[in-house]
Order: sequence, then C-alpha cells, then structure tokens
Amino acid sequence: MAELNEDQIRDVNAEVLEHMMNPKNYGVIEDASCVGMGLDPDTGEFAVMYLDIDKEDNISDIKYGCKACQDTVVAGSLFTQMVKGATLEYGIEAAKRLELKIKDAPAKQQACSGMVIKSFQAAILHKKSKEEGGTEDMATLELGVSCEGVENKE
Amino acid sequence: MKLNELYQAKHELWLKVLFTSFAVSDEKIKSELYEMACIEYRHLKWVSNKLKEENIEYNYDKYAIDIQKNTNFEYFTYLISEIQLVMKEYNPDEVLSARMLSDEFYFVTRLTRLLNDKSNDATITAFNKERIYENKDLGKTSTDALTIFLFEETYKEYELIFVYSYMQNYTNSTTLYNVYQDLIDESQYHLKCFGNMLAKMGILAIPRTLMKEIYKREDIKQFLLDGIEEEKAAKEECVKLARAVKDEELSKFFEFINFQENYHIELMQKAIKIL
Repeated sequence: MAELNEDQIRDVNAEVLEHMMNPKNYGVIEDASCVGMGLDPDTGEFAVMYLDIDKEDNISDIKYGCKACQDTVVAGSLFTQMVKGATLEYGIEAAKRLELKIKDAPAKQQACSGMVIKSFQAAILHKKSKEEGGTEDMATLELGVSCEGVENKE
Repeated sequence: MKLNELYQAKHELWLKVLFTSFAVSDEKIKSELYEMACIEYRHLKWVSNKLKEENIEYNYDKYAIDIQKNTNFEYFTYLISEIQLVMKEYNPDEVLSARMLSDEFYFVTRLTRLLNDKSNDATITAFNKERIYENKDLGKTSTDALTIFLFEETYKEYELIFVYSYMQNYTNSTTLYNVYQDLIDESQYHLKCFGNMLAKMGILAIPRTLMKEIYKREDIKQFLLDGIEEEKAAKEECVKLARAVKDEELSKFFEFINFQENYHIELMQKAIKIL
C-alpha cells in the first residue's frame, strides 16, 4: 500500500484545526496603507497582505488573502494574528524569525509559509515606495524556492 | 439596495442554506434544504445575468457568516430570518424579483412547518471537531490527511463554481458556455460530497472568500491551462489518499472522484481548442 508522502503528513492539532476552520484576518482592507504580494512564479500561487499602519508605526489592521493551499491559509492566519496591533518593527522581526524557522522545512511548506512572509515584506516595501512618491498599487516579491521544490531562477 | 449588493446578499444566503443542508443529519431535511440551495444558486445566476445586461460590476465578496448552530430548530429559525431579510430588498413589480419572492415565500412556509413538529429537531454535531468519519478508525495520520484534503477541496470546488460561473456569464461562445456549465455541475456535486463529509467529521466550515485576482482573468486560455494543472494536482492528491487511507469504502470514493477529474481535463482541453 502506498504511504502518504512527506508533504501529506502534517499534524493537525487543535490550534491548526481552529485556523483551518476559522482563518483569522482573511480578507481585504480597502485603501490600505500598503499592500504586498508574495508570488510563486512557478505555480502562479500567491498571498496578498494588506496593512494599515498608524502614525505611531503600529499595525492597526492587517488582512491577507491567497490563492494557495491550506498551509498558506494557516500560516497567514497565525502570522497576522501574531502581529496585529504590534509595532511595525515587531512585525518585521517576526517575519525574519519565521523565515529562519522554516528554512529547513520541506520545500512545499517553505513555499507555503514563505508566501505569507514575502507578502508582508512586500507590503513594507510598498509602504517605503509610497513614502518616496511611488504610485503602484502594490509591491511583489517572488519566492526563492517554488512549492514544487524547484529553485526559482533570478 | 443596489443590484450588486443584492447579489452579495444572495450569495451569502445560498451559502447559509447550502451549509445548513450539510450540517443537518436527517436525510429528508438535508435533501429538502439542498434543493432550496439549488434554487438559490439559480437565483444567483439570474441576478448575475441581469448585472451583466446592465453592465454593473459584481464580485464574490462576503461578510463573515456564523453558520454554527446547536440544533436543527436553531437553523430553521435562523434561515427564516435570513431569507426574510433578503426578501425585503426585492422589487415585487419586477419579474425576476417576483419569482425569487415566490420561491422564498415557499421556503419560509416549509421551514415554519418543520418547526411545528418537534420530531424534526436534533442536536447538531457538525462542529464538534471529533474528526471521526462514520465510526471508522483511520488512525491519526490518515485522519489528518483526510482533514487537510477536505478543507483544500471544499474551498477549491467553491472557487471553481464561481470562477466558471463568472467566465460563463461573460462568454459569447455556446461551446464554452456548455463546458463551463458541465464544470460547474461537477463542482456542485463535489462540494456537496465534501461538505457533507466535513459535517460528519465535525469540522464543517464555510470556505474563505474568493479573491478578485482568481476569477477576473483576461487571458482565458492561460486560465484554462492553469486549471488543467490544478486538476492534475488534485487527481494526484486523490490517488495518494485513496491508496493510503485505511478504509476500502473511502478509497473507492476517492478513486471515483479522481476518475471524474479526468473528464474535467478533457472538457478544458476542448475549450482551449475553440479559443
């Protein structure tokens, strides 16, 4: 009998199940302060992050959306829940820590969580661009490793 | 209420009726609610046709829907209230509105009748998170894989129903229209299967909102090519799950679903040829 492969063996504990059944902060912020997309150019899958930043540089609101798998949905739910209401600096650090944490995970999970991190980092870039007079609707960052496990060419 | 706002209200109502049909265990009531949901879906299609005729943009945004109730009677009361709220927004002088009013007046009558008989009440188990499917002992690994599969595919079928509905509404090709209709019908069936399975496992949830980037596509050929790749990926997941899950009945079901996906690919290839 064929065994489930590494990508299919995921522990669904109570916390993960809650985020699957009721993803937190899933949606859109109209007229957000900044918007970022994390894109897997190989598969076309993406995550989009919307941030509202107040004058004290706090993440007053955050929402995300995605065309991706459940891993990305759960990662987005967990990440946005963690950083909502926190300072932007905290959010940036949290994204860096998460990036390090998933560095040795299977390729698929790296890509799925990576999409969320990249979308957040892209939103920060969008914020900086707008402050410098940029007019684009959002910024996009591509994943380094595709969901398929293939390294994306620069 | 503007027509595109009505469309959103109708979309939410369809989901409320449909997912109530999944949540309820009694097969007769489930079937009746599912038929109501099918009619609500047709309403939705007709409203979208009208939006296109009047050149009004619409989308698949929805407000959060709290679908968790404790008993059948709570659901019947909830649906009566939700249906009546939407009914207030119709213009009874307009033909489509008159039709929708008539249908929903009947639904309210039927739901009220169900409430009048205490034997129709029962406790809802669709949200208990027990993750036991029909008393089968699948083991943790297979149960987790089945859980993830059902969440992925329930969302995917919901997405496909509306992606193809949107494409269908804006096509001028009869062949493409028919291809999209076949794909919608297949996804409706799969959504019904997977929704009922989620409910049996105690993990029923309404799918997340569709992003505009997913259904507002300019390059239809690329959209269909992407769709073929997604069908192939879904087939692979089905095959793996069918082979690995420790239950013959479930394995056969996933093999059945997997084989149906073959024809979806055929339909999309047929559509690509005529573009």
